[in-house]
Amino acid sequence: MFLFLIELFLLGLAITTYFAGKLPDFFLAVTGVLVGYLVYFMNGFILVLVDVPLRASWMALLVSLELAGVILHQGLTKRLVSGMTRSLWLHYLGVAVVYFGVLVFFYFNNFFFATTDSVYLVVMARNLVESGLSKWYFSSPRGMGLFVPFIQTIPMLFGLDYAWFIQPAFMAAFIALFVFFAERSARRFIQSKVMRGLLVFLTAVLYVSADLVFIMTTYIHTNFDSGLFFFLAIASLYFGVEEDQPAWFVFVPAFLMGFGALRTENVITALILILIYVGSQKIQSRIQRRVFLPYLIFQFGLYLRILLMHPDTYSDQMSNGQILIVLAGVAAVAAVLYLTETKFLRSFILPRLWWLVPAGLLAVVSVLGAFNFQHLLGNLQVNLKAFFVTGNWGAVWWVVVALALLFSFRIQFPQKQQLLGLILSFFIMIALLGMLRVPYHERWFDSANRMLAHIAPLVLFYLITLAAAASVPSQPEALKGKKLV
Amino acid sequence: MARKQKPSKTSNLLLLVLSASLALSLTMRVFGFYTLPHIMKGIVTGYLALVLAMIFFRFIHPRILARSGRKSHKVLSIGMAVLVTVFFFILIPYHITPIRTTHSLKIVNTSDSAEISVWEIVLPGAEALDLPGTFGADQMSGNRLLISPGESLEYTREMAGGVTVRLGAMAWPAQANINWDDLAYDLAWEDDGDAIAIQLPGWTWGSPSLPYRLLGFMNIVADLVSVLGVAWLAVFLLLPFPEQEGEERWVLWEQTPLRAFTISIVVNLVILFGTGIYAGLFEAELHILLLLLGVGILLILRDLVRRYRKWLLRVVLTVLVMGIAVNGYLYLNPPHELHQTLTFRPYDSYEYLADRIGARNATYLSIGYYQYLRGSTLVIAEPLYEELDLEEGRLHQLNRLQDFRFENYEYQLTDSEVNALLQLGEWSTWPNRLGGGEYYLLPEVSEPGATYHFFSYGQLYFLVPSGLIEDTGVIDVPLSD
Repeated sequence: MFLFLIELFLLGLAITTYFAGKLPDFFLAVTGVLVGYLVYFMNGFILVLVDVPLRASWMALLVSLELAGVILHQGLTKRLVSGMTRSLWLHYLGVAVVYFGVLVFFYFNNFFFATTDSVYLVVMARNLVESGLSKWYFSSPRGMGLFVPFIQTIPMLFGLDYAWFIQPAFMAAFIALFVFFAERSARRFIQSKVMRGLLVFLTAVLYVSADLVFIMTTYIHTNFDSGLFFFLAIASLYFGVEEDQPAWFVFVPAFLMGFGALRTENVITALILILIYVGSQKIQSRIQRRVFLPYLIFQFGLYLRILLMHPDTYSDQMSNGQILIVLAGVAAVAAVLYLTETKFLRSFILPRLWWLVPAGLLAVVSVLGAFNFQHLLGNLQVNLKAFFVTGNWGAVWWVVVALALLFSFRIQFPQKQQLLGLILSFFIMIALLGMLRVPYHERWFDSANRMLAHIAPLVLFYLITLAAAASVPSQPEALKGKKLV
Repeated sequence: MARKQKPSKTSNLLLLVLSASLALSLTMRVFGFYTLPHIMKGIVTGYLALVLAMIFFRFIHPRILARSGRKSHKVLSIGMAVLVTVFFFILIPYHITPIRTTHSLKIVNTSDSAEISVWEIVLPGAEALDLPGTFGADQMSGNRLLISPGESLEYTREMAGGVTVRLGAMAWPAQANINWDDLAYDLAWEDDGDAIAIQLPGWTWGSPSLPYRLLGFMNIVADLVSVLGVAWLAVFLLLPFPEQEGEERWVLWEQTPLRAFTISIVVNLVILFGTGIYAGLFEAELHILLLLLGVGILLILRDLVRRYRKWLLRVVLTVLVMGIAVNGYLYLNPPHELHQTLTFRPYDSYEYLADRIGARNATYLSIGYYQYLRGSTLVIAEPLYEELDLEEGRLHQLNRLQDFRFENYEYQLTDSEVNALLQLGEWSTWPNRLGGGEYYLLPEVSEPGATYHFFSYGQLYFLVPSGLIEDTGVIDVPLSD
């Protein structure tokens, strides 16, 4: 199994090497880990789509062929020679040591944390191995995403019962990439390395030291990984725009696919993200389509396949009607990508989308709330109590509110509106989802409470950037009026 | 034409003293100073002093400076303020806020022959004094304490607040005298011996320890300064003295007029009134006070860091460090049972994973045999159902059962039946999570949708498909269709 994991890692690195020289070595090295798992997920998904059973031999062969293909292509295009600098090698080596160190440590020291959902995810993985997409028991893709079950299949193919050692690697990747992106953002405003380092380091420590996040190091679930991929998708978009470097955009669809495949409701967040960034008009329409369409096609295909399933399991949450609404939403957003050049949209709608989206969601919540006010009020009370007291978030949201109050004066930084629009939309979306289900509850494992892990990294990134921007009295000219990427 | 006024050190100092005095008085009289934890005493008083000072300096001080033309006006206003203060203290009887002090209670039965009964003594915090435990059970009659004619009862205790005493008479007429610190009360029963309740005040001085003696003294000084100060401000600002146009010169730091803090000052003023009213109307809950004070302080900090950007990161880092410290504290001192932490797991099996989620028996059984129970019909004898603590509803929910029914059959297997069953193939076992023992199921003859009967042999529990029973005849049990 470890040989297979090494193979996946090498495949991830081989793919990220395409961007050597264009993107930072550290990002390429760490992202290589995640790209490996994303490729495994896509391989597995395609195999089960065409009814090929998941077997270790098949998967190893497929990954080997892909690895050989990528290396051959890079050799032919001389990228391997030109792109592989000493720094990149060192980064690859360093990340390999840490990554496999984490895997081996947790492999021999099982610290799994699990709830009933975790077991359902493991059972879904068993279902994938036993019968592909045809038989589901406690949960199915109508209730839970497929990404974690696919990751859980890796050790099953090699005779183990489930994966207890892979989730810590995702945590390590998150910490590394969060610190990397936050520092990169703060660097534009804060000259002092010490202050910058302290700001980013302390924020990361604050987040990881919260009970709930700490336990997510080994928790077999979907929320932490959702937060990871969502954050990476936004960070890639953010720096793609800021640094005029389209190479960042290549990772956006990959991260969005991971995000969309993790939980059933993630598609809503992803569509909001796309709409808000399309609204920003900071990316050319042609590039926008290249960035977002692959994800939209994937998500459409995934839900179309789910629509054809009739699993009838205990925790199925999506009805055919809801799936059809999602499909329509995905198709509508795809259509918007082709309509961005129309004068009406460009002049009136797109520039206001960053607030129209949360305002629209708020209007829907208000209408639903008007019909069932007690439900809405009960959810809000429960959510607030969970976020600040019972949700095992420690001081995280207290600090967020404190810093938000501290920065409640006019501070400008690039793409602030987009990030703010996303954050507001997400919180309103939690209220909206709450109106469509049984009421939320106060305990830490409530889905609304866990879903905060999707947005928390972005909120912290936003606050770090806000703090950094606010620490300089006047805004650098270079940050005003970005040209179109 | 506007003229720049010189900042007056004297008026600055006086306003600071007034702010501090008012803050201490308000904390003591409104926010329950003596019931707050020590650190909160300082935080609440400090916050109030800060906000009041900012309000005074922002809104009052410029008007004082504008009216500071003549000395005679000041003398006149001070004189009038003293008069107002004197009248105030004459009209309203003054008592300090109850301090923590040693109060003395003495009840003397001054009757000729009637006994006096003490029904109860209620301490601060509505806690009733344990009469037999304190004065001895031999003086009790039922649940009342008796005091014979000419005798007395004495009680001394350190407390913050007064007590309520309820006394009755066993015969009448009867009289009693109560001494509470230096206060004396006479009670009499003429026509009946019903209980009379008397509230003894907490503001009497008693015998306080040195720190509380000082606090009591500070209370008096703060109240006096507050009334005098407010009276002077009212008189000085309301009298028709000529006013000069002036420019506010009071600065927090160089180039930072207090005007920049107007919004946060006003918000804090609202918070101050809000908390005051809240504390007056309801029991002042500590966390709500803290929350509001936190918002107020953060808004003041916001105005500061907006002006002094070089401080901003330091403030942010401090907030982050405080957050991390709170996380660490909560990790070491979990506030509730929901606290989770990484735990070493000695086994890597699916069975152990499922066990650790704390599932109920029905859930655990379903997780173990999910492939076989799906859409099946389960048949069980009621005593076995009770023994296994299975929940019909949960089994239905998880496995989408066709049916679940109780039947009355001989579910306990004999030695020979078990031996014969075990010979039929490779049985898959799964633990019975809460009751102990193991389930047995034969995968090669078990299919989703089958009908399973539950049997037991000690702590071995068999899920046997009906077809197997009928085809093999290893179990001699007549089953209904």
